[in-house]
Amino acid sequence: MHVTKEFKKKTFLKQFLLGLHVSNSISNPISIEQRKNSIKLSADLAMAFARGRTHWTHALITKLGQKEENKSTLKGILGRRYQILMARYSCPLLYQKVQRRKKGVRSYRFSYNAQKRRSALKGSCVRVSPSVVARNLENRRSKVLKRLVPGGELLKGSSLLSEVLDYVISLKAQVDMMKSLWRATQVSSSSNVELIPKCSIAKEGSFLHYSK
Amino acid sequence: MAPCMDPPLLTPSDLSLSEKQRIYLNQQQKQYLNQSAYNSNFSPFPTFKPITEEISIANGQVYNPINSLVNGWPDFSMASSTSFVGNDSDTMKEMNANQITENMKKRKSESNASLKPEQSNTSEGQEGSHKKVKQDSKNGNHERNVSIKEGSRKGKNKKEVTTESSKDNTKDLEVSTVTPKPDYIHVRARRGQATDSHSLAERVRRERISERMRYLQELVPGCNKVTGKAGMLDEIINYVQSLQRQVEFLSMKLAAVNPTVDFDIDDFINKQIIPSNTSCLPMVNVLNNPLDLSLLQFNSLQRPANCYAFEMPIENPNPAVNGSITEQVSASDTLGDQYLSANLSSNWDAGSQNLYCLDPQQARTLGFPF
Repeated sequence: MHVTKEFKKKTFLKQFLLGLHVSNSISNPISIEQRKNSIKLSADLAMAFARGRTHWTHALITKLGQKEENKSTLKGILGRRYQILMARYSCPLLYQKVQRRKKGVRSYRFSYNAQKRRSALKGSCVRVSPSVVARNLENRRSKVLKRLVPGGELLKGSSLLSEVLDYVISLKAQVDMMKSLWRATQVSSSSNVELIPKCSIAKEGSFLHYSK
Repeated sequence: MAPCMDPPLLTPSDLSLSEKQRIYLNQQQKQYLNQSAYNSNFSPFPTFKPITEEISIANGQVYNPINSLVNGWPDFSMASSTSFVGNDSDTMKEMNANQITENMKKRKSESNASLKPEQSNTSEGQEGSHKKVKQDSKNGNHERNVSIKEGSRKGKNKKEVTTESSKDNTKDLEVSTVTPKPDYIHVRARRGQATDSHSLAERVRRERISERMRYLQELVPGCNKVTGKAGMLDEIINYVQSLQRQVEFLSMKLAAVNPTVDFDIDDFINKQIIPSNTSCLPMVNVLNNPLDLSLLQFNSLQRPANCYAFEMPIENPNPAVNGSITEQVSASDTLGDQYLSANLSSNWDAGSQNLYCLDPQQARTLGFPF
């Protein structure tokens, strides 16, 4: 999905601000925790909308929509489209598939590991080749990665990596946007807006590159 | 030696080696001419091109690691062609150079993906073409044109067409099949490697994975020092986790600031953000806006401001902190303490009124990609 960065930032900002609006008005959140959750929700939703149609965005929206506390906010943000979206993305079959696959993997792993364990218990030296070790490490890490990326459980191999790539870029953009928004609030909430010289604002803007 | 040999069934014994080379060379030239015509416009990696733009803009500077990678490849493969060893020096070199250029601009594949096969081609020489011809003969009584298309579908060895007339046909076919660009990776069997379909598919899969890993390596900071898939996966995991934690932290901070946005969202968005020019520093526009927006009032709660007061100056990006900015931030801390929650309630109501009259309109104006 060819989405340029420029377009994405605008969409993100619009969606984020709208989400903040909605979350503020709908549920009158008292605690910081609630407010933080609603902000995070609108930020994630904004990121998903800004990115467009990818696997992880769909998974993210589905995940967000299934939590009970988010539903009202989502309804407020999406309006009429909420029903359409939820109907499309909440398919329980998907999760069944995941469960089934997990079982299969587990059983295979179990038998393989059991073999190793048995031979280890016998006392015979288990000659585990370095490739096997490497593969095990990799599998473990990719499992962790799958849990991190929304919708990553169902992917594997190169498609997982491409989703991770996409997701990392969007995350980075989200963090940058939120940072700048926060800085905007800081700047504007300082006492005299007129006293702030334009040059400092410009400097502020110039520092908003992503610093590795 | 006739340039076009038209045996119904190619067997290696029919053609001498130099004849094969000559035929192949002719094909490559034709294909190369076709490639170069449309390849200039062809974005070789459609899914990743935006990423380069994104990176450059996110960095606020022109930094195109992936584009430079793409552009750097032709040079690299050209350099690798010099290490080729062959019998018939002139034709072999020519053939190899054309092979490489042709392989760089594959018909249906991303040109990035063909780098690894290029490197492996340098030592291939006669054996490679030999094998290809063999494969062609195995597969091919049916239309050679179709066989090219079919053969490249799985991304395996390229099939060759050896007839003059079918060369013309392939030229037409290639020109007509410009638009669909699925992700094919052309792999050629190296000397001494298995050529059965399984290992080839394996190799294709591995190349794809390593390609993605390379992009990730560029993206994730600190990944250059680590080699190997496991270490890089580790770095990637750490990076994703840190980014997610940053999002949480930033949302907490924003919650503390409590943006009771009681400005006219419509006005704000339409006037301030949309007409913002697409400079390389788009964020400047966002920040300039608060100056114009006297309506943008952000009140902060007392208690959270106290909690986060000492955190805020720390959290400012370290290389970016300017003297004036820190002054502003610290000033806002003291001011934030002064704002009372009584202000908040009035703003809430005003904000909600604004919201409800804007909401249906706003939802429509927002891009809804789903």
